[in-house]
Amino acid sequence: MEYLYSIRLCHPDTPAVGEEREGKDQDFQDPRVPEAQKTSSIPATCVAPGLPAAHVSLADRLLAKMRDRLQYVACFFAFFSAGFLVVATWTDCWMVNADDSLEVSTKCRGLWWECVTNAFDGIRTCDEYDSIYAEHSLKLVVTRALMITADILAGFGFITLLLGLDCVKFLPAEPYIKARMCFVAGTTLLTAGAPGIIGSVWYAVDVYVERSSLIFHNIFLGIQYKFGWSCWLGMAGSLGCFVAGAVLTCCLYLLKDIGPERNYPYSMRKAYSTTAISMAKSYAAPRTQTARMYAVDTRV
Amino acid sequence: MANSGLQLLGYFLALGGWVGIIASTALPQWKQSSYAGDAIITAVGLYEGLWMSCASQSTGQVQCKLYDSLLALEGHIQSARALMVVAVLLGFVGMVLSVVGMKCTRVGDSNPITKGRIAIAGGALFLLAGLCTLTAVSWYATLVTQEFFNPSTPVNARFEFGPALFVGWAAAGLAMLGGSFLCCTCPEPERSNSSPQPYRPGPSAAAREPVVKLSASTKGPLGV
Repeated sequence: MEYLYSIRLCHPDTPAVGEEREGKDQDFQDPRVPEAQKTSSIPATCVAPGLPAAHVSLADRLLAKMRDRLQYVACFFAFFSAGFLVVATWTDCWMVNADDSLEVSTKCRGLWWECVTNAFDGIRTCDEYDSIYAEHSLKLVVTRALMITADILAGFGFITLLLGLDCVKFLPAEPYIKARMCFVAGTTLLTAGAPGIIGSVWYAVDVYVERSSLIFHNIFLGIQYKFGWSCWLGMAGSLGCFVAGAVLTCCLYLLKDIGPERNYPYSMRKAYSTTAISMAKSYAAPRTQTARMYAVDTRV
Repeated sequence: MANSGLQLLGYFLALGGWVGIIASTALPQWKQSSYAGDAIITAVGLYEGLWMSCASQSTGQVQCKLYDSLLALEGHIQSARALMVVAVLLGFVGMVLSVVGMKCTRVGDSNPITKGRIAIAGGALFLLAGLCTLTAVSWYATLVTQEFFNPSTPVNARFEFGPALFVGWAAAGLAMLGGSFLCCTCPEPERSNSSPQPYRPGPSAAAREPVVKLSASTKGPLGV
């Protein structure tokens, strides 16, 4: 495959990284034939693609491989952070009683119910909060809303990412759809991270402020709360969403022009529609060693 | 591609079944206290599951307690536990295998026969998981029924089927249906043997691109 890379390196209509995005509309209109004629004006730097070309192709391949790996890393992060967010929303330890309170049991308060686990006999008593129309603190209602929003967005982002993975065949006839779906998934995950982190940090800060104001005024109610593991899970899930979204949007965006697959997404579409496809078919067959050499030699 | 659609349908059915199996394993309502007979209005409803027993007060509080001793438990609860855990594990392995084996993924694309066999293995694991769940749930239900109709059981201490049993039945049905869908997408050996280019990944844009590029660059200098 290396000869392909070196040829592509010298091809005059190989778009640069920035050029391709700006010039894609022109690419659509350009017919194929003049492009082939343009090859007579080969740039001087490309006359001898010797060692540097080989080096670049190696780096190219490494980067392309890295980009494929990055997708799976992002998928991993997205799976676990979506899971963390859902678990954080539906578990009950957003607030847990601090060690300095006079209790023999663990008391956890969540977004939906509070539970007391007796330390001695292990009996766990749960009590749901009052109906949704009853008086609730603003912190509770807003955190519920934000966490549910984050859950839905993260789940949606994860499913989009699954469909956008390279190893899943989804809409195979559509070129460039994978990169777009990854980008959409990344944006959704970034958007999901925002309400998640706002909700959990707000809850944590509120619990902390409550506690420190009680201590400051020297009031001791018998039980004091600190934030528990559900709150930590919520924060971890939102940070994971941010990481996955950043990987999907920034890293894949920076690396998207590297590698054999993504260089000609728009000219490919054109090739399907015009006669270039028959040309491609007729030239696909004689890919022997001599044809390869011929292709390289006519370049130089 | 109808085959591929059937596979996907089977996979999602089996996935739903697997989630249902997990839910019914974790739920504490395998049997609940019965109000049949004298219509006794009680302030406490009792539930029993595989891992804990719960009491739900009329004030809305739920008290749960994990079973204390593993060895002192009754045999049918222990075997139901074992069967359900095995079903969850089998379902997990089946999920991974059928993702690899399904036609809509690009893993191991070069060998369609092996891929089909992997998909069938995944489906068979889902079938087994469904069978395990069905056994555990039906056995438990049989025992609950026997106890209910046993004349020596006091009327106040009668139990009947809880929601977890119905969830378990539904999950077993889904897993078995999905597993059989996955299994019945057999590969056709003759066709894949006689195909001229077994290594061609198909008419995807990504696969055809280098070929087009080569032809264009060959064509360029020749045409001039």
